[in-house]
Amino acid sequence: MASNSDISDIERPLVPRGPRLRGLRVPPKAVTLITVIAAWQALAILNDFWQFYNATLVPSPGGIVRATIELWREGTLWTHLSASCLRVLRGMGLAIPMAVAMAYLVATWKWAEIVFDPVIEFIRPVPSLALLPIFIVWFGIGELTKTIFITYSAFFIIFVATLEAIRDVDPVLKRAAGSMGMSPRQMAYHVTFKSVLPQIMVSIRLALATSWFVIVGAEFLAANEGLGYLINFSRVWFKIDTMMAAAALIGVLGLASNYLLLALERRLFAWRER
Amino acid sequence: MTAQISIQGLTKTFPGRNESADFTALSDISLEIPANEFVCLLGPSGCGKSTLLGLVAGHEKSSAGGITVAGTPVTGPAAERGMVFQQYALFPWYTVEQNVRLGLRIKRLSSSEQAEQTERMLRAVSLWDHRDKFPRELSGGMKQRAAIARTLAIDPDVLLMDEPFGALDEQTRNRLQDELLAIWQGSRRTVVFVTHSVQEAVTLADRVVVMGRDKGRIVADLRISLKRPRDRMSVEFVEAEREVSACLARAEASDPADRAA
Ligand SMILES: Nc1ncnc2c1ncn2[C@@H]1O[C@H](COP(=O)(O)OP(=O)(O)O)[C@@H](O)[C@H]1O
Ligand SMILES: [Mg+2]
Repeated sequence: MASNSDISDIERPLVPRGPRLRGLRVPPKAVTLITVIAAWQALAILNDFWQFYNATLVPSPGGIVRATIELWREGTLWTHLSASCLRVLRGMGLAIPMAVAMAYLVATWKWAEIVFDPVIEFIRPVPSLALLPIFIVWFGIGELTKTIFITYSAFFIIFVATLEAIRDVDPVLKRAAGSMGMSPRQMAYHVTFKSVLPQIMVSIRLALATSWFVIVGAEFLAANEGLGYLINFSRVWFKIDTMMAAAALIGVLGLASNYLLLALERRLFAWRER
Repeated sequence: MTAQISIQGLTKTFPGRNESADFTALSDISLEIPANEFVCLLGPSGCGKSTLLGLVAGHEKSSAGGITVAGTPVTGPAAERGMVFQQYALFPWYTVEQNVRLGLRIKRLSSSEQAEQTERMLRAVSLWDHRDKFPRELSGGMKQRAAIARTLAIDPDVLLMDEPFGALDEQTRNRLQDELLAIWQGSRRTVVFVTHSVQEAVTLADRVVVMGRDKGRIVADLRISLKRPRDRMSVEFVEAEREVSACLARAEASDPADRAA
């Protein structure tokens, strides 16, 4: 494991390393981000003197940070943050096993394919946000609706990717497994599951991004807390800095969850050729 | 221990896709392979060698006729009929050691037996020092040695090999042929080895069965009685090669199926 970094350095010699700050290596993409934010802040400071735009409408990065700290002081930051996170986690937690199990069923059992595949293909292209008002009518404005909505939105992404991956499993590997004496269940684990896991993980990452996307919509319409609710509520009071703070938080959450999953993938799939 | 293979009137027809006609790859093939014999199936590409081997392995269902191994009809794949593929078919997500050990786990050997057997096989194919590598980190020759170790570790009655060395360079191929023979002579078993190389067949086989393009019809059945180890340069060896080549040329020539297709 110790030599791993050497290998990746040899394989990717063209990736710029970024400048070193007191021995700390800063990724070049982080430098880009910091530069953009700094430029925005500089613009805001200039605007304080010369007023070429309305600072209430376009708050500075500093203003957004202040608004975030303000939320934290009030004690509402954690309420909104955890409400949104929990909904996404709950929805994903339901969607992942359901989608994977359904994909396996459809891929391996002809009758399941005949019954479920056309139905799924028919509802899949409908944007899930279009169904949100209907969900609210059916299930009310409680947590149930939001969980079902996230689950619904994430399900198709994971289902389609998993089904596709199961159908793409190398048939030679299945033959080898059969000649090693594996039962169908052993084959499902040692060949099919192991083989499709990378695609499942990628689809989970995509579904997670979608979940952050749609939970905000759901919280606009039907919530008393959550980052989406916060944005919509702040709009009424014209607190644009708070709206932007909530939006930035969603961005950070999406970014963080994506990085977490990427790191997990790198650990799990060391066997892959890249 | 090891088993006799009996193939009786075997026919394999693949259903045509959409409107195209069915395709008969094998028609009425009969072949007896006694226990412990090393048989090479030789024939031009597309003559049905892989199809025949797949039927013996139980990966394909026959359209007519049947196969018995040690008196038991073949109905599906089983650990008693080990298979080695040209594409290696190692599980990329498992290390070399895990690949070899997996079959022993499936066989429900005790943990210590698994470890012992795995080490013995990996040492036999000189991969012990590479046991923690993933298949992608191995050369072609090493991959195939790992695949052979994985199959032999299970100790199958019958070893089926479909052009296992077809993708390797010549030196590696010769080395692996010699290694395979050494292992086989250490513990004899029935081997059916598919190849389209005359030299490979003469190097390895007790018996060479030559198949023609005409629905896999067996056009020659030759005994190679050169004693082992065989010198690929010796006069007798070259003579045997010439004899087998002549049969193969006849197999290529008599070719009505080709025109039909
Ligand atoms: N699954 C299949 N469906 C249709 N035709 C097949 C299938 N597998 C093999 N064939 C045909 O059967 C013939 C024999 O194939 P194969 O056994 O792979 O030949 P070989 O291994 O001797 O090169 C070929 O003409 C091939 O196109
Ligand atoms: Mg073949």
